[in-house]
Amino acid sequence: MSEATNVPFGPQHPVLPEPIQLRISLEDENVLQALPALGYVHRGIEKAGELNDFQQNVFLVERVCGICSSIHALAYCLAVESAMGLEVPKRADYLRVVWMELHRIHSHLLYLGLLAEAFGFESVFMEFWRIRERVMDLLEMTAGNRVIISVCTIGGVRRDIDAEQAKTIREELPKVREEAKRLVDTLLGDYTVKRRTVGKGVIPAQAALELGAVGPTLRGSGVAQDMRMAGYAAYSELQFRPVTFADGDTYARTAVRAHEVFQSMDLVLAALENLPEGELAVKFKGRPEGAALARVEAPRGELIYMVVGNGTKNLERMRVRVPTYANIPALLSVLPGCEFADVPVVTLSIDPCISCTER
Amino acid sequence: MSELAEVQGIERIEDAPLEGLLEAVRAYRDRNARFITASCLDRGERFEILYLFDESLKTVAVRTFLPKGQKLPSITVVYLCGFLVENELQDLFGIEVDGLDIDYRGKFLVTNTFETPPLLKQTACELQGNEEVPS
Repeated sequence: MSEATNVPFGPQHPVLPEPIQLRISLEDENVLQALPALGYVHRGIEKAGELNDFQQNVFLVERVCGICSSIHALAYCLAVESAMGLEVPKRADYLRVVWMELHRIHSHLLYLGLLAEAFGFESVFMEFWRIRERVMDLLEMTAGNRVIISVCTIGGVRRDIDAEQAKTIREELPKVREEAKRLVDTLLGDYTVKRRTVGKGVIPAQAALELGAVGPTLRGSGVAQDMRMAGYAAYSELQFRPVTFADGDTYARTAVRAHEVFQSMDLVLAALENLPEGELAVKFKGRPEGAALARVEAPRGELIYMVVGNGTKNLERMRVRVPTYANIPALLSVLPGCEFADVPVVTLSIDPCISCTER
Repeated sequence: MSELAEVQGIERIEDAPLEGLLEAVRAYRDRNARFITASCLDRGERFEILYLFDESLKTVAVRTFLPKGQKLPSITVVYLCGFLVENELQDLFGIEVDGLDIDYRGKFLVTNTFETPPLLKQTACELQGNEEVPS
């Protein structure tokens, strides 16, 4: 038996846009063990959430992540609204769905591009990101910004989508769908992609549950669990059904995200179709007293905010549990036994967001 | 400081004494509940720790109280995935976790520049380092 070789995978690596290290022990080309090293960019946002005014925290939590920023704001707002007993206007609920699903579309397109790049498919990567720009343009048109759109506020939303903007979204999304479908079919049908992803990094359903996996990582193992099923915002009125694939491998996790792109487009169009008239936000007085927890479905999986108020403008505690954090144990469980050459693609298959993890 | 009476969004909170914590957590494992995370609050003389689980999209919790200075039993013997959040408890609250499967010894998220765990209420927030902010 040859001696184990320890290889640091990251913190700088072509498939890792953000710093995390996996300390990998190898025997020849086979992975024996992988351990994570975090903390390169830990920002102390949970502590900052105690020091800020609870209303200012909306803007703070949006900066936890540069991809699903608005979903952080939504989860925080839902938790505070629950603690304060606020009822959000129906129109705000529907508008929240529109913006959250646009975020999911651009996040998944980003992932699909990065995965293509990990194989060396530079042109597919650029094509995915080209059509992603069209979704970013829709966010900019409706919210005034591309990523940190600051639409959520405690009690509702800060902006509206007028009839002209809704018409533009309705016209643009089918074009994006057509282009995305062509690319997704190319990616998922490609011989090389299948060779690199099918049967790689298999997480059986029971293991995914025991290891606390969430989001497409869990649904790629055949477990139909998605927090949108719980019906927050307007999801309860939009007949949502989770996308699942049973194989539990890198291909299945990718296929879940690819299909969710199209599902999110349907949800955006359905939300615009059924958009009720009414106020954008409920006015409120007072400060949060008591505790509340909100769970929402971010692109990478279940995102949790728990707030504990004490009647002052500062929270007693703001707890954030992000999806990548929950998916790391599942990743660590599948790397042993993999060939070293598969580590980048298998790691990418949980769509790691270190910005979230290092909140 | 008083403990949490209830948490909106958590269906049920079950109190467990420190010595019965693993048994309570194991009961959730036996029911196939998914471990979500643990959340800790500094309550002065003790910590209030909530272990959150998912049961068919409902959130349920086991709560325990840990007097400061005592060790917290690790739940990694039941839920291996708990090692991340338990290392975080060591880093951010200075809690010593007993039997932790993968132990970063308080240096998982934070660096040596932190003298006191940052999420303790007694920890004052000051600018780290002596650099002057450029004008």
